[in-house]
Amino acid sequence: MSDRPPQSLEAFRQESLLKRNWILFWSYIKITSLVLGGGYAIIAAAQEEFVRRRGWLTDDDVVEMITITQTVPGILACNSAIYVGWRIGGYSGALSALAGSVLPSLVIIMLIAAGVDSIRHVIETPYVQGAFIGVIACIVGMVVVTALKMRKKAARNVFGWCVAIGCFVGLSVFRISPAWLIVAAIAAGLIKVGVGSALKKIHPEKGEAAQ
Amino acid sequence: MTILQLYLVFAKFGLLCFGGGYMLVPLLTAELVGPGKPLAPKEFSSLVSIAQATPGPIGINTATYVGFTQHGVIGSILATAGIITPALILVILAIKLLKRYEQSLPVQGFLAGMKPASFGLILSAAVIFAELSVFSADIPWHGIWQWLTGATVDFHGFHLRISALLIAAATTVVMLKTRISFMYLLLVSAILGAFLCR
Repeated sequence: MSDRPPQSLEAFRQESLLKRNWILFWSYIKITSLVLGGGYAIIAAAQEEFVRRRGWLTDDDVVEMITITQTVPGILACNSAIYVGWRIGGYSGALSALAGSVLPSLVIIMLIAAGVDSIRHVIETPYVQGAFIGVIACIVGMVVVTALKMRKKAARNVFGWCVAIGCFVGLSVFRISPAWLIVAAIAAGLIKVGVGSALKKIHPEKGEAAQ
Repeated sequence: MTILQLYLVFAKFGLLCFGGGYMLVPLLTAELVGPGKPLAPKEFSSLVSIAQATPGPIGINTATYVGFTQHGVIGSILATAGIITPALILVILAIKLLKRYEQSLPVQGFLAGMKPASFGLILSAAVIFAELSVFSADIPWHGIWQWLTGATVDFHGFHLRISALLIAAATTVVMLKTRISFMYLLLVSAILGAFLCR
């Protein structure tokens, strides 16, 4: 596991096509083979790798990544791989990151499905279960850091805070499916912007205030 | 189920799986589980527990497993390819459309709602992961509410794992202050967890 100092995005873009795609592929292999818990955990890990450590994407990109990842149907982790790969390496980058995001599960699950039962026994030992708890605790920290980074970009006014708190309480307390929360949030956003622009046309000053 | 059907059925799941893997289990149950369908109910429940206990996205784990039971390695690869095909097209399309129509009212409205929603959902994810590690069970919101209104409530089975809490807190601080790769943090957390969180 090498951990060379991160290069800049400009230096990365000077590398050969093969090397660029290899870096994206390998980064996602590392993320999906170590991160438990699926979508949100993998998004947080991608933020860690590509924003905080490498600095190839900005906090604004993370907000956009999470917004797109959640709106477009599909597996969250793969959607985030496609977003990151495409933004950094174009079409081939998207394919490389996506391949990296599915390969570890593909191999592990194929082995389990093929009846390599020792894998399952190893997973069920208390030490491995304890290690899983440790990893998930680490992911809690990772997700909190990602949320802190998003806060300033995502919840900038009273409306934003209401939507954010609504979604938070809706999912964590009432366990409403994220799909419904997303539909409700988009509807609220459309109404808010629609009303704001209508007010602007009638009373320019009031419309300004509503924005 | 032929190989082509397998690919198409999972492409359909990829298209319908909106808002993450949460939607996937009911979809899979309806299409794949039961008499005359590829999976027996018992097989399906063991599949769900394997998918949750192994690293990687739950949707991919499921596709790989079901594909393997149908057509071996080729089946695994095709089912997985199926579930990611719609997203590959739609995510890139979404990035391009958002850029092109950035200033239009519908896109402004969409972003006004979705940005704070994403923030709220990510925060919830922290709570959900905490319930799997820092706490021994789901947070008993109903019990807390009753306790706040004066009733005596027994929080039996719900307790804090101090060691996991320390790992989470330490991770947060290290990530905010340094540029250490998350790989090391995960490995250290796994080792600490293996000995402290059993």
